[in-house]
Amino acid sequence: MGASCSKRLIAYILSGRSAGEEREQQGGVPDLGAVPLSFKARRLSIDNKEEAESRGRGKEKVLPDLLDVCIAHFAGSLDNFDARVLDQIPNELIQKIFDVLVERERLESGTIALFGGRDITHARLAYQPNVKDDWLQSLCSRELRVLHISHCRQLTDFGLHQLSHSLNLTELSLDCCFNITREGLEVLKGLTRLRSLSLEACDCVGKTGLSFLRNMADLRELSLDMCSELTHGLENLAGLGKLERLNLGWCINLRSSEMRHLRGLESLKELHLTRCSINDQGVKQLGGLKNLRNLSLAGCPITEESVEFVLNFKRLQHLNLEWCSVPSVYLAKLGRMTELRSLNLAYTGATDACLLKLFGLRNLESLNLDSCKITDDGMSIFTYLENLKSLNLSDTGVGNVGISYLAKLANLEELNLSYTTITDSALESLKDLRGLRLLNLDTRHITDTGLAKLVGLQNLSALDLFGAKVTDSGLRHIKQLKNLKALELCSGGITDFGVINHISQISTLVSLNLAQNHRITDASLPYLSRLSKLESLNLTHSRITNLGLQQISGLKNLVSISVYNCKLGKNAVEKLQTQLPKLQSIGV
Amino acid sequence: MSKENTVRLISAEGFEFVIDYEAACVSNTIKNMLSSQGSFTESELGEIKFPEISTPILEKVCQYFYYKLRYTNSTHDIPPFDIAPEYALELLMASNYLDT
Repeated sequence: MGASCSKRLIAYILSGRSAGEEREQQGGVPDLGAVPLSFKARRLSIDNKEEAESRGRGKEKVLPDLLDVCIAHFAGSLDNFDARVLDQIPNELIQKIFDVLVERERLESGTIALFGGRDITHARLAYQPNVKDDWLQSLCSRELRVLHISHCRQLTDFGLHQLSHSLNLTELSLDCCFNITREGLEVLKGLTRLRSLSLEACDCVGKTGLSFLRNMADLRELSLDMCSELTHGLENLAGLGKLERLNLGWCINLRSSEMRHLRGLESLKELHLTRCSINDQGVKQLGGLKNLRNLSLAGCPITEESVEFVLNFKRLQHLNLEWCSVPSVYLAKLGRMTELRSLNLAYTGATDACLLKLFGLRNLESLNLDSCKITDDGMSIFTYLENLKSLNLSDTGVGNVGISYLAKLANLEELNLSYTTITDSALESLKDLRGLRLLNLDTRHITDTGLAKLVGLQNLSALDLFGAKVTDSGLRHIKQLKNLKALELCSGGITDFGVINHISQISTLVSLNLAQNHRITDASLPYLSRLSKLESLNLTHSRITNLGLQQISGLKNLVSISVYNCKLGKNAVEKLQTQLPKLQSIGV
Repeated sequence: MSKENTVRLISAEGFEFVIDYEAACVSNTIKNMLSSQGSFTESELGEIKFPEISTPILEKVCQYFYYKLRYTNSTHDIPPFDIAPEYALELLMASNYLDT
């Protein structure tokens, strides 16, 4: 698991979730982890495209409307902007121009002032680089409905105070605005029309005791994820009768007894208590939540008593019990929850006997058994779970015999077999799984020979062969995968020959990890620069030098590059940074 | 061009553009005007007056109609549809009105 393990760890520490859970929440985006930031951090375009494609699958290519062309023209000719031009444009079109400027990150303090008094209703500014207090001065009007300023870290209480002019706000997100204090949050008390509020990682929330929530009777969604200083105050949620989604994940100091305030929230469909210190007594307080569809108790100190209790949530479709130490015999009872679509039992120690009891879960689409005590003996279960789209068997004892039970899972899109005991002959069982998009074969016993079986899997977009014994000759097969966007090959067996003759021809690649291949030298770099879609490149432990690095200055889409332990000077790296406008993260 | 399958679009200055019915229907507004829901004159005569749209703007709009027909579902590289800065504002208003 090598890198994928460390990646997972980084994602785990920084985002407060494991990679598996992250994927579940994002609706099945690849676990690329190339930019190890918080889970909402800027992701590679590959992830966004994946979502867009799955939404628009089968739709024809559409040309932009003339209106779009005109709006793009205005957004692109910012220098000619002045208030008089905007005066002639109706407000609904000004909103569209504003949206395009946001999308292109072209807004600055000077231009934002032009939009003051023009009834901007939606300002989705999360992650915009230069958002300052004066932006909110221009934008906060009575008409403002949606304001996303998560990760705008220069904002202070002064800017937030402008929200008192926007009492009609229905959506607000302030995640990771670290300069805001308890006093700044006072302004939230007046925002009684909010339907969605997100305050993730705002530590100052703890000091407010949540009193600002008391009058938000319209609230549907609330996230206090990672508000680690929150200990109490959930009584202020008791009146939020319309609340449907509540995220209290990683509120590590929240008292278990606080759960009693949630029992009246009958509309609640989604409840995340990941890594809270909620025990059995706390879970038992949740009895009134009859409409619950999605529950995460990952990492909570619960026992079999809670599992018995969870069985009462008859409508539950998604259950996450990752890291919960519940004896396997009790986990087996989950086989009665026939509505379940996704089940995460990673790191619970679930056994074959437990797995075999889950045969009733015919609706299951996602199952995570990472690091469970599963062997070939439990694998016959997969003849029953034929709707599975995503399956994680990483770090289990599953071998070639067991894998043969997967051959008929025609709906499978994501499969993780890293650190299992499978060998090349197991891949014979996978060769007809034409729907596979993500495949992780990071295990030492997979070699060049096995890869020949994968060439029929033409929907594969991500292939992880991190520790597999792949050499240059195996790349012949990989380059036949015409939709491959993410590839990891870190066995040490790849040389310049393989890069020049094979990898350089996989023009669809967006993310490429060639770390630990110490036989890759500067000779490879002109060929890598042909991969014009590349956004993430890892050449750690290769033999590239200053001279070689300049050869990739043509990779204009590059967002992240890792070149740890290479003989590189600071100057060469800085020079590259000036040549590549999108480059954000560089590891030397 | 047979008369049945064409539409006359008349600019503010009275200049007439005779274009294919199919091209004109790229504009949702025109499409509605020409359908049975539109007024009698427009659907019967196949003639629409645009007193708010000047001749060069209407010409550019017609060019866009044909650009759209030509390149929708095209597998080739699609050239960008260029706009001269001096017309941008009027074209923005026109395209908004024409729902195009």
